Amino acid sequence: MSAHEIAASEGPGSSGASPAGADEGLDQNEAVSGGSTLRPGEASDVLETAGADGISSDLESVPGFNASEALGESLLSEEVPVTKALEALPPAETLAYDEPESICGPDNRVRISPASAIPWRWCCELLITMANGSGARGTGWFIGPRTVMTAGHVVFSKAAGGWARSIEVIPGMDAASRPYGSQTGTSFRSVTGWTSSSDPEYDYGAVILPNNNLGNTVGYFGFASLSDGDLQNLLVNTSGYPGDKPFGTQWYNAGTITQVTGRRLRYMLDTFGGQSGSAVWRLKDGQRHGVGIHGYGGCPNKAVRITAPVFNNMLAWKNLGF
Amino acid sequence: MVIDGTVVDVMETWPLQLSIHTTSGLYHVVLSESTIITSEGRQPVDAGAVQPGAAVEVQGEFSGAQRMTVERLDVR
Repeated sequence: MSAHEIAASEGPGSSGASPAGADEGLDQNEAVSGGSTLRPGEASDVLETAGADGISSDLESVPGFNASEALGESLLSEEVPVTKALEALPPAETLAYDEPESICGPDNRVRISPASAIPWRWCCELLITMANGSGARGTGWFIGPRTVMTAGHVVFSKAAGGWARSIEVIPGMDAASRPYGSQTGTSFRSVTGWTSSSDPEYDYGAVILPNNNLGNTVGYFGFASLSDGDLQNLLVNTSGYPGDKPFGTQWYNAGTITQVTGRRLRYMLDTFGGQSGSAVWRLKDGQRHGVGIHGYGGCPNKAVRITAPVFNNMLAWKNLGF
Repeated sequence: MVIDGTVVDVMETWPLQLSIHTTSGLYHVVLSESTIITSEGRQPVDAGAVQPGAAVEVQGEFSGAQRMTVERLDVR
């Protein structure tokens, strides 16, 4: 059992007691929890074994989103042979770029407006008051009635001094519109692999809201721990609140997972600062399951993979709402 | 205070958080809305220019061991 996976719960509003559920002894690589077609409060936790019939994934239907272009970006290689022509290029730092570095190729992000339909209302703008009192923004996604999944560095920032003081969660925010209002969480969860070791492979966490009201109103994503084979080249979706767009507006992108490692997923989906914590989800047979937690830019952009231990922690955190 | 190093990770909160490798170890820094970002000491650039592998000089206020709030960041 990895000590890194032990759940840490030291948010200012928590008792400090570690929640149960970090059992790494389980060897499940196809755990699935909940599902997007279930109504709020009806999500059941299901553990199932992978089928051998492959993946029939799909993208969200979003007007204006050019799926073929986005999929083409997934073909951008992360490992390019160095030719003489490439060697002759000037150093990268001398070049001017039209797009931010986490926009991989053409920027084909599409705004979601309004964001009150499923699954967009499961995605939340997070307004963070960090440990040092400074403000920041991120993205989260409901996985239970009072549990909002996000990146570890959203709830615990070593650079800003530790656990956030508070995080306001605004589901389905669309500029000035807050269709479901908001709640402020002061209880957080992460794991020691992040809070003690600052290991990006363990960079995930959750906001625990004061009650079940908001999650039961908007509903929540399922989540799944898939095998390497099922994740490689899987079509995935993401939507979040990037800082280079008008405040509080939600933006969607999609593409394929280009690299799968033991604990991370890499892809060329377009993201930007502010989208840390966004869901990377699979849409399959009408069901939406998070498979990763976005957190890092750099093309390829990166998410923490929902492995069996991550899944188990998420399940424990989700069950805090029941 | 100033540190020189190479960006290891770009964490996508807004403003960004960075891990920077230096000769004296790994630093964790956080940018603010008012952080000034330049390229080669002159040209203002977008935060998107800060990418893994970039050599940077960072100026700011240490808020603890190996951590800093960034006032100026220059991409070399």
